[in-house]
Amino acid sequence: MTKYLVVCRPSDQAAAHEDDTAEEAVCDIARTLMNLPLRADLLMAIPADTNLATMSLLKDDVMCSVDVTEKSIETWRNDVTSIQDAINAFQSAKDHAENVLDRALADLDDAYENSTDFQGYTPSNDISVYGALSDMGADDLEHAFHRALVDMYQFHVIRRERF
Amino acid sequence: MTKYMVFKNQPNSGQVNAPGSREEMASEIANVVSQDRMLPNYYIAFPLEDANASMQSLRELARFTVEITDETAALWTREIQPMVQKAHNVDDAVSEASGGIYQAMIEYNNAIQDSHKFVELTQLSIKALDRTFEFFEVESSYEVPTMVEEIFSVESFDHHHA
Repeated sequence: MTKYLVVCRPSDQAAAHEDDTAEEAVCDIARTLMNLPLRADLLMAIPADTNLATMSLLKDDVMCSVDVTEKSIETWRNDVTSIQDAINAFQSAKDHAENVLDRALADLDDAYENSTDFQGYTPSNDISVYGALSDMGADDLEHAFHRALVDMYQFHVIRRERF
Repeated sequence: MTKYMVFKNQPNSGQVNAPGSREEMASEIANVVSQDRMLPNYYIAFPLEDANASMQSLRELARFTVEITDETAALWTREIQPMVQKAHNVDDAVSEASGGIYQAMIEYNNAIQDSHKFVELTQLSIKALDRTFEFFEVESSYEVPTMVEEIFSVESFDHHHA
């Protein structure tokens, strides 16, 4: 098990980590778990038992720590991407379903509303599109997967306590 | 008020409801109440006092009776038909939505199952999805047939063979 500290890549450290290295994977893990809207190569992973790591801690540059093994890096590369893709695809399907159902129900509402004899009934009042879909427990997928990753990679956000 | 007897039109009977007729309307009303969304002319209707109704009754039993007045006929054309179409659109939306979600759900469950480290993540329940959409479909499609059934005093007959 190797612990890495992750910092923003300093401008004087121009070269990104090489492909398929542990450092490259660590930066990708950190970016994903911190939900950072930037490329992983703008981060730098530093083994925690080095002087550079100590210096970075002292300068309060460290964003997070990540523990990896060869096996867990392999898991990241093989399994995590496909599960994340599946979660994203599920979320898209759910969004699409909500849109399609919402639109169709709104049309039916309009038909009732525009009628002279059937006004007063609004079908969508009896059917909650969002409630129906979230009852499936699908809302928690992303969160549960995130928690599993945080545990697996012993991910910690580093914040210096200030007094 | 005219009462119509509605029969299941036998394949190759050569009979169709005259387009735009009250018989066609009665058959469409029966189709809506049955909630089966059959093709046009799946049912065929005859006025109760029509000789064809008696002839047809000798061959098979009526599935529905439907009462139509000039007023309810106008209501059907003006307001109910568009509403039926919108309700069908909701049913179609349910099918489209559930199809996409089923596919994505299966892919997610497979991705979890194929992984070695994440098998403990909760798999999505196909049964829960079934229940969700079943509820949705029942709720969305119940109102219009019930309303049609009442307005046209539709009587449905279940025929069971011993």
